[in-house]
Amino acid sequence: MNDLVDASPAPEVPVLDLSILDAGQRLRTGSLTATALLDAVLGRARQSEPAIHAYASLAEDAARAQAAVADEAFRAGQDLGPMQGIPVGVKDIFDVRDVPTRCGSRARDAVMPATDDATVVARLRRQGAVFTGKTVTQEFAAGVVSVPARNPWDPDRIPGGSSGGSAAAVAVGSCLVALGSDTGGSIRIPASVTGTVGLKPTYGLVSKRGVFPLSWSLDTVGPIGRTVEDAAMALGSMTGIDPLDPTTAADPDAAPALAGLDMGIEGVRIGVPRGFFAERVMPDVLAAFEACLPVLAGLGGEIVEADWADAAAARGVAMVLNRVESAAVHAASLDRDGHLYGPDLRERLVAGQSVGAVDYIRALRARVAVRESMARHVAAHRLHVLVTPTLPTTALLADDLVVRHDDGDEPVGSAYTRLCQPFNATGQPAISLPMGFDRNGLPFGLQIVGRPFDEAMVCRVGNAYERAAGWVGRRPPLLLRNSSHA
Amino acid sequence: MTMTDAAATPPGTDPPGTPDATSSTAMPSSAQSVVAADMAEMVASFAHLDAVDMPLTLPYRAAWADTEAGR
Repeated sequence: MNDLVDASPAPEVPVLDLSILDAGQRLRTGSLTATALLDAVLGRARQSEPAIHAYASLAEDAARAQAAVADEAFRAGQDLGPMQGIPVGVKDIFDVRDVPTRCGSRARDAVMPATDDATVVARLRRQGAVFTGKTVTQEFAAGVVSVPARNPWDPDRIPGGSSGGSAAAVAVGSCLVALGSDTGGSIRIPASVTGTVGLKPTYGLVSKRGVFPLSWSLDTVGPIGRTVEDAAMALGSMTGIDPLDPTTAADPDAAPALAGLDMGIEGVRIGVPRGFFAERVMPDVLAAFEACLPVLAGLGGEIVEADWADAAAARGVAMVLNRVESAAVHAASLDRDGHLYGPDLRERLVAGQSVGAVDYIRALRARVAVRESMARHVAAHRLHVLVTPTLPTTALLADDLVVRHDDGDEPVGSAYTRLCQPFNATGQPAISLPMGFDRNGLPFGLQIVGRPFDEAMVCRVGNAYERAAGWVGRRPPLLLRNSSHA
Repeated sequence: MTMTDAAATPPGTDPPGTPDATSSTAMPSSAQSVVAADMAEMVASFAHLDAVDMPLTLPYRAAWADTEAGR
């Protein structure tokens, strides 16, 4: 795959290493224009796309028009918010006005362009964001491979999923931040294997209107960025009650994700649930995770051993709800267009169809039980957050999608979702950020899980760790081959 | 708006891994048995939480509101 990398000279793109905050400051002082920033991003896309395939489609003309509007607003002294002029990739399950939402499926090859923006896209558009294009998703967001996207750290490997294109685009710099969705880990998983930061918010914090559903009662929408600060800043521009999405919710007492980001973590109680979260985890991942704990303790965090007995049950609840609701989402179209669905998705839908109504009702009720169990667990240990590895392994080779354990093989779909899904059942906010690299240069992810609507604490702990650990800022070696600015 | 296809996929070709449009929706019965068994295992993982006096649903935050953690 490396041979496919464009060997032409790389454009001058140092601006791609700017945070959203720093880029915004330059945009506001006039030392950078949104158009120049977009040019840099599109230049990076031209360099990386032949090998990485992060985008299903680029929208260069529309993005240039949006950047021009953002620049005009800057010149007129209009400040639309922190995302003004910032290039944003959009997972191809979100409606973007005048663009088809193809969901990575042949079943939607002939779909008409969307007539309206998804609520979250509309919010970002009102704030002057620049949409670079639609990023590759696993078919209907149901899986973790994201064909044809590849991992920038090794293009022979997968970028994870289902928001794999979004994470890959952020990793290479072909957008500054991207939208993803997370039903069983689909923001955190690709963030973990691409060395980016993925923030799954509390269920209901961000509107899902205009986002193609996978599982109505589990779906969440959130950002993938290069840093915790970027992810928190993007999330702040996405949240809010949406009258058109009855599942949106808010805690009037909750602080924005950016609040207190730099306050440090002195006295913050950090739970470490081992047991389920340490089983069938690769030794190098466990070692990297264990190395995080003294870093957090050194920052003043209080490490608390806190096994959670219902983790496996929570995972089972999320799996059953996910499969059954997905089967319902696709029931009619599977009958009509099933021959256009990929085999992996069809298998998932058949799995959902195999679950009876009684077991689905049991899963709904058990979800209440696992949420109560987690609430008791957090209260009993007086925890602010929990930390786990995001995944039990690193990015797998695209032609070998099995994790090999001493006690048998595990398919990638099971392995990658295993440590993430419990927190889809509980609905808690969770972030994945880099916690090191293996001997092959592949990133590991640290998962930080918070109390409902406490994204601020999740980001605060993540930001403190990120700055202390120093993993942030690395670019994939793919780019170093061709650019002195990577 | 001008949409440009990603450079990865030349016109008229399928990206790697694209589903076979000619394949059937039907799964072999053996495969169906495997996925059904997987689902049964998942259902069994939370069977111990079943209690007849537990309501079908609660408002989302209710589970947290009555705890120190939820306030």
